[in-house]
Amino acid sequence: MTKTKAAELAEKQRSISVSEFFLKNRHLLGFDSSRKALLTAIKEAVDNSLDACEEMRVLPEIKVILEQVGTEDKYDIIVEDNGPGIVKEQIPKIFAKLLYGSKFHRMKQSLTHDEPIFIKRNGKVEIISIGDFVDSILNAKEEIKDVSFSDIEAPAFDPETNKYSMQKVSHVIRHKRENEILRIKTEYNKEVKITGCHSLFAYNQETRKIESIEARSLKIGDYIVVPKNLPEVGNLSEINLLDYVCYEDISKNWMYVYGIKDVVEKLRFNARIIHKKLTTRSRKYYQVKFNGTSVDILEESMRQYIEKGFLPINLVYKLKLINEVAHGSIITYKHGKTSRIPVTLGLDRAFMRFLGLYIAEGHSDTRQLGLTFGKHEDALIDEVMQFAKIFGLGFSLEPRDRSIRVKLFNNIFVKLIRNICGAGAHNKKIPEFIFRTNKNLRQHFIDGYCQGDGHKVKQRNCLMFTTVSKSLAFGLQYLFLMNGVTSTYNSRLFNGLGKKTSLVYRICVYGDALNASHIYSRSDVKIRPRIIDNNVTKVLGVLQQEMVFGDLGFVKIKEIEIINTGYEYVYDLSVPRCENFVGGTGGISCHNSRGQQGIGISAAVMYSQLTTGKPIKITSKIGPKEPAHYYELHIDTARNEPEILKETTVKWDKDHGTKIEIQLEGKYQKGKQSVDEYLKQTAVANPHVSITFVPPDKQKQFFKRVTDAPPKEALEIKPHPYGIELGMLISMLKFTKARTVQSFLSSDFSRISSNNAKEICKIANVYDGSKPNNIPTKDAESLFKAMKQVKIMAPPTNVLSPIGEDLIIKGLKKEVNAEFYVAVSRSPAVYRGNPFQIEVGIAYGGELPQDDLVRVYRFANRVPLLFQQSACASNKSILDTAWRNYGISQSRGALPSAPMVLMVHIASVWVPFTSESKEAIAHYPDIIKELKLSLQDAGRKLSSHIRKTVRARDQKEKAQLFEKYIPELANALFNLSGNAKANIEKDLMKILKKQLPLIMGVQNDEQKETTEKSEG
Amino acid sequence: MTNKKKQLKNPKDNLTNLGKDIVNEIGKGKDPTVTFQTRALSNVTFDKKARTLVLGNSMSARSFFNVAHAKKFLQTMEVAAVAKNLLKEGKHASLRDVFYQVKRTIPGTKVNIVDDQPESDAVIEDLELITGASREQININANKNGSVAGKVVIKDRGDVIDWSKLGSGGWSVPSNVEEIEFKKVDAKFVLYMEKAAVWERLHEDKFWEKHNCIIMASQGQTTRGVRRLLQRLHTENKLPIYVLADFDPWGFYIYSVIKFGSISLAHLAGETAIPGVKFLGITADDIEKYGLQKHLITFKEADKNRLKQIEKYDWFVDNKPWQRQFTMMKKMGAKAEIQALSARGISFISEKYLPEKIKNKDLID
Repeated sequence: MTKTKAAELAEKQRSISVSEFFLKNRHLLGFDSSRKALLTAIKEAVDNSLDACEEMRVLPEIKVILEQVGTEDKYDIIVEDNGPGIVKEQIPKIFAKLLYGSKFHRMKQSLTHDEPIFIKRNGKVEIISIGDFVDSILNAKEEIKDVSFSDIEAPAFDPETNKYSMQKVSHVIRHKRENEILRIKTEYNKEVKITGCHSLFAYNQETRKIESIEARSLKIGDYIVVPKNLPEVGNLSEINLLDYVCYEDISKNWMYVYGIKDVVEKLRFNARIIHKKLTTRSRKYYQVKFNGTSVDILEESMRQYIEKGFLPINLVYKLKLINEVAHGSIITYKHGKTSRIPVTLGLDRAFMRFLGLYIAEGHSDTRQLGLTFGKHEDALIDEVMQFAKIFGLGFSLEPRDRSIRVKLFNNIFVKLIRNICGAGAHNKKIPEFIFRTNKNLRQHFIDGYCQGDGHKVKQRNCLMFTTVSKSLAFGLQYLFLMNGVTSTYNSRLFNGLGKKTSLVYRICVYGDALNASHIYSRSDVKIRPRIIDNNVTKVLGVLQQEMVFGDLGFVKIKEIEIINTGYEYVYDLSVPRCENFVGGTGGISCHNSRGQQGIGISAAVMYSQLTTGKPIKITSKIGPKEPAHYYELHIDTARNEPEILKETTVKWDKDHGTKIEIQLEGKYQKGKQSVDEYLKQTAVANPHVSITFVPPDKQKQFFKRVTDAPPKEALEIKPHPYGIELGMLISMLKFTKARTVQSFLSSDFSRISSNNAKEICKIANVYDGSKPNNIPTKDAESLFKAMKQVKIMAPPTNVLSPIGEDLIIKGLKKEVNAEFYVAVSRSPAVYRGNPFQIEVGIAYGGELPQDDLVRVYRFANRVPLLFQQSACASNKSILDTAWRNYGISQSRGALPSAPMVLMVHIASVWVPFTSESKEAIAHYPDIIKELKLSLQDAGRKLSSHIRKTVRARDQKEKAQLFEKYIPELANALFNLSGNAKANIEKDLMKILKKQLPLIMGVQNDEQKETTEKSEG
Repeated sequence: MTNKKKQLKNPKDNLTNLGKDIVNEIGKGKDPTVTFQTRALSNVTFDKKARTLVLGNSMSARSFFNVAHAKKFLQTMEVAAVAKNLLKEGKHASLRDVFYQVKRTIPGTKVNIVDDQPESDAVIEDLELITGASREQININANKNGSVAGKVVIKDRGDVIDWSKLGSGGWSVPSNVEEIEFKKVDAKFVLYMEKAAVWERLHEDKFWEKHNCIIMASQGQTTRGVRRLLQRLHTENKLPIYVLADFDPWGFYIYSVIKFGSISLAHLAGETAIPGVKFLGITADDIEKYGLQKHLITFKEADKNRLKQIEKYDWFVDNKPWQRQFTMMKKMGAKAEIQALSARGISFISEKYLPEKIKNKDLID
């Protein structure tokens, strides 16, 4: 079989695509010249090492070796670090697959399979083990999947406001366990099992801030963050019964949906009339099509359906008319008696209480529900019978020894309750939709459950629930949490009523929290309030002034247990921006991992392959007891997949780390855009790094570490209103999850309080309760204008990771030999909704060249920018600063000329570069303004130094000038007076010698010509 | 050495003596110093009797062995040497020439003796005070700048010149008018204006012929030559002088300089000030009378500030008519150029405005 031309072409297209892509874009990737290629390859490797170390809080030690291959323009590059190493399975993809995520070190922080998480998927709430959840999404081989287009949300707190809200989950992650597992138990018996390197949020006593802290560095007695309150998931007020019952459940029964004449008429109107011959005679049918399925209905039947306005339930299911018949009701026949039940069930107090009572006291078999009450519980028995009457359910009372059982009959209702609540004690669960109702309705449910099952324990001042269903116990805790009640949990083996021993779960609610429930305000049992506030007041006493605690509470760690066996796989979720979710028993805030995209090192591999054809060699080790893996890789350019040439384990005396060896065509030159300079500047901006560099001439260079404090991790945050553009606002309005404009403003933006939001709506003249998705562009525009008028706090500093004035000076001091150092770290500002922070450092004088233009070191998030200086916002800001005011000479339109190194750093969540090659910062007015202010500030500090020391030097120079002036003056006086020049000169020199100490002592050279009043 | 106020007959000797005195001081091991009157507003007073500005008695000392003065002192001596050389050779040099004769880099340094012309110009003015000889007397001339026309015949360096027969350009006033001899003067008054363009208008309209007068102009600030010529016409030929200037603080100051002398040249006030001069226009009343309100230019900050300075000058402070002008100008918050009159017709100035003003003696003293 011959291929078609097109197929052949397509194949060819594919086969060159990756390498061609690379060649076409090599200028963007930094491989446009052989000199730059060498630098870029080293840069990618070193940047990766720094990121990896930073993420794992390891102080980086990096070794870079550059060796020329023969006499050609070919070099071997070796970059070695002490980072966390790379998981074996990841190595090939990271290095030999273009456009694979370059941040490879992160996939290790996770929860164990059985940890429950709270998730909303396709609109429904699930309390599910993270393992089951992730396994349901990933296929057997996958490790990570982007789920940002699926409808999955998890509760996460906003690191700025500390408020919980439902946030989109972007990735689900599963990988083999490599680290130890820690079981962390806290007060209230909350518990979570996580890998040692997974972070939880904890209160740091020293910084007085909430920080994500690796589990393995947590100690007993530390306070970790727990949610005090979970966010509302919905405001459901009714359910469609048919959503919770499938056809198979009821296929044996005759059931009809009545009261839907409109639906039937519509069906017939859209139907095609056909004729079918069944036996002998041809009969007329309506061919009804709906939702992609078609059903033929006999003419006579259709006539009947129309007349009485009903459909058999099997047709409703077949044609997927579940939503269309929501206004109808279901009629069933039981022993000739009809019973009628609406399709849409309103979630009112009665229904919610009934569900609670059923979960407490009920059980069911296939045809009936039974609720067993104590004989004294007349009120509850009455309540259930009343409920049955209103719902049109059949019921009967069955007295027993010490109890009375209420039996309820109705096929479809029984199915519904079995499906949503479970049938027996061991599989009881909280109906999913309960989580989506409002607080009041949830409380009715809890009340029902409490009255049915709760034991009031007077002496312990608590209310206790006991169940053998784990799922019910977990669900209940989350449900309590949604209502702002923290409960404790434990489990124990118990000899139950049923004679056999079973695991019993016990949930306790104490004092005040308990009184949040309706029933106890009028309860006969008065429970003395006991304040349990999750220690917020305790911790708050210390840092009240500093933070808003929002929905966060703290619990003390009581126990940490290390588990080294079992748990083959561990799991994680990625929640963009917030980077946390709620997991564990009873709910604990988990810090999740962060994914990032980049081209990174694989581009260097591609370049190497294209220029030398040699494979990249990687050695990597992830822990002291793990083997070091060695790989030789190529990129299969046809498939953009790694091609493994060699794979083995080797001995490596390092505890952990990664070593990369790559050969490529390049040019090694010294100068402003050299490898040396890149490493030097990296060392300036990263004083916590130690770098050893062995250049081709073997003259080893060592950039030493001067601080043991690794930089703070940067977080991502929501846009700030002052920086946003109209277009962005419009699209945010369109896609927001918020229900009202006011909540949209306060939840989707950084730093807008609900008062701010109200004020904005007022100024914009937009009703604060209107739906954001329906806001017309005109109103969006006025909102946009109003946002800029309202006074709103600046975005939070803690999301940025500045170097800090001290470390800038330390960094400069160790790499630049000067006599004076100064640094300025501005407070953060905003451009287009992104916070950023400018820092400037100056090294002045000393051994720096006197009359050259200043050297500018530019950094974006600590990474040196070596190219396109003149296109950079920092350059413009330096040119625009009036350096002469600070005693530094500067020609118009040029950099100042002085013995000076000027360091400029921009730290931002999103650094705006002029192009993809990331070499120059774009000219945003806000950024330039901040740059100028910081340069001016640094300039002022420098000028006082210059005044002090440099002036004295000038004075000296001026004094020396006299010697030069004297011959000139002597000459002029000779012309004027005719006296001998030589004599005049000699005399003047004499005076100079005498006057010199006086002249040198003159401090104030701005002395005016002395003015005196003469008489007359 | 101290300044010798006595005027020597020979400026050359004067300079030589200056040099000898300084060399003497040096010989005695003293820091060489020159002393002269301070040239600044603070040292200028208004002599109510003579009605001119006079320099006060505050003195400035300039000595070589003072870091701040050294260069100035060197400049002073350099310029003095240049001037002496000019006198010796009997040649005249312009201010620019002197600048270039002095300007050079001192060997072994990056220092220029002078960097730009204002520096050397200032030193020349200082030298006038130090030596008591005027700039012209030490053969340094400013650029000529000014035109004159009228029924006047003069003799200059042996040439006889008739100011009424010089075509469209008129006679251009040299910077030194000391040697000019008036042969015949047939005029009733002199009209001086600050704009060369206005002069050209009047010249084309033969205003001087019709009204039997002399018209004179220099662009902007009145040069020394023009002022001296005006003074000589006023004192030697008893001609009244009328000044026509813009209605703005700078226009008023031009009048002030001609009448009372300038602050920076207060030491020469006696030779150049003409207390009899009268201000013809443009006055605030003219703006109203001739309907120029629509052609005003709104004040800028600089205008306001200048007006504030001028109204406080000693020589204006007690002058009621002038204070009235200042108040009206302040009220208008605007200024007008002479040419604003052209809004009423190109020859409105020569046919209506000036004849009326002069006929009515509508002048401010």
